[in-house]
Amino acid sequence: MSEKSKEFWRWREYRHTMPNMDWHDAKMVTAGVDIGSVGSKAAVMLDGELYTYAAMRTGGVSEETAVKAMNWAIEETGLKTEDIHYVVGTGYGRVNVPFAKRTITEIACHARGAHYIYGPTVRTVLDIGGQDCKAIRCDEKGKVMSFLMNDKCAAGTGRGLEVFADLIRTPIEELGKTSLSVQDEPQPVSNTCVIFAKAESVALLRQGWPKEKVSAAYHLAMVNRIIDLLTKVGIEKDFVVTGGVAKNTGIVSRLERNLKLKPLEPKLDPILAGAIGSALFAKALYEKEIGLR
Amino acid sequence: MDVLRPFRTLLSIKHDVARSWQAKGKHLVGWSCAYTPEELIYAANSIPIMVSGSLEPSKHADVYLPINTCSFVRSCFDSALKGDYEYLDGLVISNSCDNRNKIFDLWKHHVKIPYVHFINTPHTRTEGTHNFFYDEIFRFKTSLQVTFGEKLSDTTLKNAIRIFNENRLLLKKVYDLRMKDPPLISGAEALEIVLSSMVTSKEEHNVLLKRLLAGASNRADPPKGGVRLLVSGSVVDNSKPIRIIEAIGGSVVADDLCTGSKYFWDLVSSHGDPLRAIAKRYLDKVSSSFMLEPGTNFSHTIEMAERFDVEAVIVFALKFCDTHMFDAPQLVKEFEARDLPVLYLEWEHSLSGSAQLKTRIEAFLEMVKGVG
Amino acid sequence: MVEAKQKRRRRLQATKGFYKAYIKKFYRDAHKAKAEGKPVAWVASTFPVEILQAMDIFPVWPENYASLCAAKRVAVKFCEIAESRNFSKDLCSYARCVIGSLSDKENSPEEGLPRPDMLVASTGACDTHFKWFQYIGDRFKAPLHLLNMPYNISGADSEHLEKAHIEFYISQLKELIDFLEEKTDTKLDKKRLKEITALSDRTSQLWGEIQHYRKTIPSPMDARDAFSAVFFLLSIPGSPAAVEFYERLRNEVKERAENKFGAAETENYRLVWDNLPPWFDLKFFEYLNTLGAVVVAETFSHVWMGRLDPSRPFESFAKKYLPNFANCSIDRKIHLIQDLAEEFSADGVILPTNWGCRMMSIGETAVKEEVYRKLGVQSLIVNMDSTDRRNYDEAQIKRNMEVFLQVLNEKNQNG
Repeated sequence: MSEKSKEFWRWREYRHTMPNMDWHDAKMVTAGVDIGSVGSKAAVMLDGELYTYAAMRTGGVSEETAVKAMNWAIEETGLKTEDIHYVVGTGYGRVNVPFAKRTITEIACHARGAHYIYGPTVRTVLDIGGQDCKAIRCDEKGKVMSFLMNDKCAAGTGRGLEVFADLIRTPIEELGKTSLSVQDEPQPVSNTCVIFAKAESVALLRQGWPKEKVSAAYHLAMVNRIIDLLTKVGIEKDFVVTGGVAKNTGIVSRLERNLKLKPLEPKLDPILAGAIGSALFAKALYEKEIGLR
Repeated sequence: MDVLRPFRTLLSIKHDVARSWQAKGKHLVGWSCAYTPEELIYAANSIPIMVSGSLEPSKHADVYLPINTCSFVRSCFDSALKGDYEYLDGLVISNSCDNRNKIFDLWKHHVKIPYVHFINTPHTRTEGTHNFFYDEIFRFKTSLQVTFGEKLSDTTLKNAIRIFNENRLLLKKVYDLRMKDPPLISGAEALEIVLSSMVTSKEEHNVLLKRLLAGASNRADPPKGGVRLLVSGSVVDNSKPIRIIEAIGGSVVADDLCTGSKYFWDLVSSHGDPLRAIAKRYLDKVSSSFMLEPGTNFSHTIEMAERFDVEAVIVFALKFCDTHMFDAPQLVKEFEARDLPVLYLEWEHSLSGSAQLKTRIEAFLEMVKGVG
Repeated sequence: MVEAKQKRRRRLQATKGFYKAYIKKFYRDAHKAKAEGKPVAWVASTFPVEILQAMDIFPVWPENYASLCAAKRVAVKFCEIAESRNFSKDLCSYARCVIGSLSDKENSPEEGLPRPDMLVASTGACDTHFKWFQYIGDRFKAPLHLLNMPYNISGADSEHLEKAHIEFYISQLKELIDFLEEKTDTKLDKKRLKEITALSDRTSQLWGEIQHYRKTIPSPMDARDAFSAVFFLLSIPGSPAAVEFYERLRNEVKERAENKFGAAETENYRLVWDNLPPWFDLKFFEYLNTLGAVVVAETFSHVWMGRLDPSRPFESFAKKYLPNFANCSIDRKIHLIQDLAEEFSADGVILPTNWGCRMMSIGETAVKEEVYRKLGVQSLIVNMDSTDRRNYDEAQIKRNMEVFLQVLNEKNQNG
C-alpha cells in the first residue's frame, strides 16, 4: 500500500479464545453482541466466565456485522450459534442483532462489563465510544446509579480520533504515544465539533506546528471535554476507562494527570466491556427464563 | 368502536378540519401561546386554532433564521411559509418569549395575514399588571368585534366560558384515567387528546371526550404500562416524543407542558363580569416559565408528580427555549430532593439525533426499573 | 504594504488605560459600598438605573462583568462550570459566565461581583435577564423585582408611543419604587431624582455629540474605543464621573474631527456594527483597521441614549426605554440601521449574531435585506458569540470579513 493511500485510522481487528476452557462442560452458554458505530464486539461466556471473543470494524449493514463478529468469535471452537442459550444485543446497532432475544443499552452493559473486568470496587466508568462518550456511576454490583452522555458532534470520540489519525498521518494505535512526546502541553484546540476541530488542527499544521504538538493539543481538548462530563456526573473512585479509546495512552495518561486519579489497570481488553456486560445480562435473563431465578 | 381514534384523526387532518369550519361560516384565528384568551375568539363566531409545526426539516424557515433559535417556533414559521396556514383569517400573538416575538415579526414580514393582533402579556402578577392585562383583553375584544363584525356580548362570552370550562373539566377526567396502574390511556394518547382540542370547536370536542370517558374502561387494547413518568417541558406539539418513550418501557402518566396539563388546568370563574373573569384566569393560570414567580414556579409540576404517583421524571428541554432551560437545572434539583430519578434531555423539535435520545431514555428506564 | 498600515494604533487619549482608571475603580467602589453596608443591586440593561442612583443603591451590572471576564479570558472556564450544573450551553453566555463565576472566586477578576441585596430587571431586552436573575436571586436568597415593559410591537419611537404603554410603564416604576423603598427602608427623594435625571440627560447629550462627530470622514473614533467608553452610559449614567469623562472624550473627538484626524490611518471602508463585539478579542477592530476598515457606528452606542426631562423623570424614562430596539418589532432595528448607515456614510454593515441570544440573532436576515433594498448597502452576517470563545471561529470570521471588504471594494470602484 502506498504511503498516500495508507489508512492510518484502520485499527487491527482481532479474536481470541481462552485456553483451557471447553464449552461442552458449561451449563449455560450466553453471548453479548455490542454493535458500536465504529467497532463491533461479540463475547461468549460459559457460566459467566469469558470464553471467546472478537472485535472488528462495523460495516455498512449492522445485521451482517453482528453475524460476522459472532461467527468469528466462535470460529474453531466448534460452537454453533444455536448452541448459545441466550444472546443480548447492545450498542448503537443493538436492534440489528438477528439472534438476540433482548436488547439492553450499552450504558447498563458497560457498567456491568466494567464490574466483571475490573472488579466490584468500580464506581465510575468512562466509556469512550465511536460516536459518543458516556460517564457512568455504578454500585458494587455494577448497577447504574446515574449516567451522562455527551453530544453527538463532540470531537471527544473514537471517530474523531480516526479522522485525526488520518490527518496527521499517524497509525491510530500510536496516536496517543505521539501526543505524549511533546515537552510542554500546548493550548488545546478550542473547538469541540469533529469538523471544526479538524479544521483547527489543519490551521495549526499550516502554522508549522509539528504533528506531535498538534496531536497534544487535540488530545488535550478531548480530555478537557471528558473531564467536564466526569465532573458533571460526579467522579468517585475506583475509576475505569472502557471502549476502544481506553488503549490510547495520550488520553488515559492525561486523564490521570488532570484528574489526579489513576484509572485501574484492565485485566482484560476494555473494548469488550459492552459485549461482556450484555453476555452477563444474557446469563441472568436465561436463568430467569428457565426458572433458576 | 375505537373511542380514541377520532382524536388522532383530528390531528392528522387538522388543516382540513379547520377549513371545514370555515366552510360553515366560522372565522379561523390562529394562536401560539397558551396565554391567548381563546374564549373571546370563540365568542366572535370563530374557531381558535393552535399554530403548530411539523416533523419535517424546516428548510423554508432556515433561509431566514439562524440555527440558534427555537426549533418549535421555527417549524411553525416553516409551515406558514409553505402555505399550510393560508386559510387563517387572523393570528393572535402574545408577549410570551423572545423566539415568538421576533419570529412572528418575520412571519408578518413574509406571510400575508389579513388580521394580526398582539396581546401584551405581563410577566408578573400585581394589581397593576392585572389592570393592564384586563385593558389588553378589552382591546382584543374590541379588535375582534371590529374585524369580524361580530358582537361579543356578555351572553356570548358566558356561553364560551361554559363550553371551555366543560372542556377543561372533561380533560381533567381524561387525565384521571392515568392515575390507575397501568393507566387506562397512554401518555401519547393523552397528549393527542389535548392537542386535538386546539384544532377544532371545543363544543365538538366535548362530545368526543364524553364518548371516550364512557368507553375508556372497556377498551380492547389498553396500554401495557411501564415506568410511571412525568414529562416536564415547555411545548410538545405532537405525540412522537412520547411515543418514543412509551415504545421502550416508559409510561407517561403526567406532564407540566404548556400544551398539556398547563393548558387546561384552571377554569374561568363563571361569576361576575365575564371579561374580567377571563382576564383573571389567563394571568393567574398555572405559570408558564416566562412568568416570574420566585421559588414557586414548580408547584404545579410537583403537584402533578404527586397526584399521578410517578416513579421518575424526564425534563424535556426544548433547545433554545430559554425560559424553560433556565428553570431546568432548578427543576432537576427539586426532583432529586424528593428522591425521584430525573433525566435531563435536550431535544430538537424535528427529533434529529433520536437514536441517541432513545439510548438515553432507555438507559434511564433500565436504571430506574433494573435490567432483566 | 500591510506592514506599513499596521503602525501604532491611534487610540484616543481619553480612553487610554480605561480599564485601570474606570472599570477597576468601579468594582473597587462596589466592594467598598458593600463593605460599608450600603445596598447593592444587580441590574440588567434596559433599566432606569437612575432611580437606583437616586436612592443611593449601588448598581452592579453583571453583563459588564461577563464582558470583562471574556476580556480576561476566564469566561469559557466559568461557562463550563455553569454547564456542569445543567445550564445548557445554548443559553446566554453572559448568564452562564456569571453563574459559573460564583463558584470560582479565586479566578474571578476584581474579586468577583459583590453579593446582591436585591436584583432588578425589566422585560424590555430579553427573557434571559429575568430568568437568569431569578436563579441568582434564589441562590443568594435576595429578592428580584421585575419591571414589566409592554412590548412595543409597532416599533414606535419616543414621540409616537402608545399612551397606554407610557402609563403602564409609569405605574410599573411606582411598583418598583415601592419595592426599593421597602427593601432599603428609605424614601425616594424626588429632588435627588431630578438631579440624577439631569446628569443622565447631560451624559446622553454628550454621548450623542460624540457619536455625531463620528460622522466626519475620516471618523475620529473607532468601535474599540466606543465599546469601552459606552460603559458610563449604561452603568452609571446619572453621575458626575460620567459627565466629566464624556466631556473630555467629546473635546478630544471634536478636535480630531475638526482636524480631520482619523481613528485609523487608512479609512477605505466605513462600517456599522450591530449587537455586541467579541469581548474576548477587541483587537479585532484593530485588525479591521489594518484592512482599511473603520467601524463608525454601533447600534449599541445608539440604543442606550435618550434625552430626559428632569422635571418629568418617569415619563422621560418611558420614552427612553420603551423604544429600545430590543423591546420592539424588528422594523425598528431595520430603521435604526438604515438611519445609521445613511447618516454615517457607511459602506457596509456587520451583523454579528450571538449564540445564546435570540433577540440579537433573529431578524438579521431581514435587516440585511431591507438595508440593501433601501440604500444598496451590503451587510455581512457573522455567526459568533460575544463572550464564549468556543462559539467563535476566528479564522473563518476573518476570512469572511476579507471577502466582504473585497466585495465592497469592487462596488466602490464600479460605482
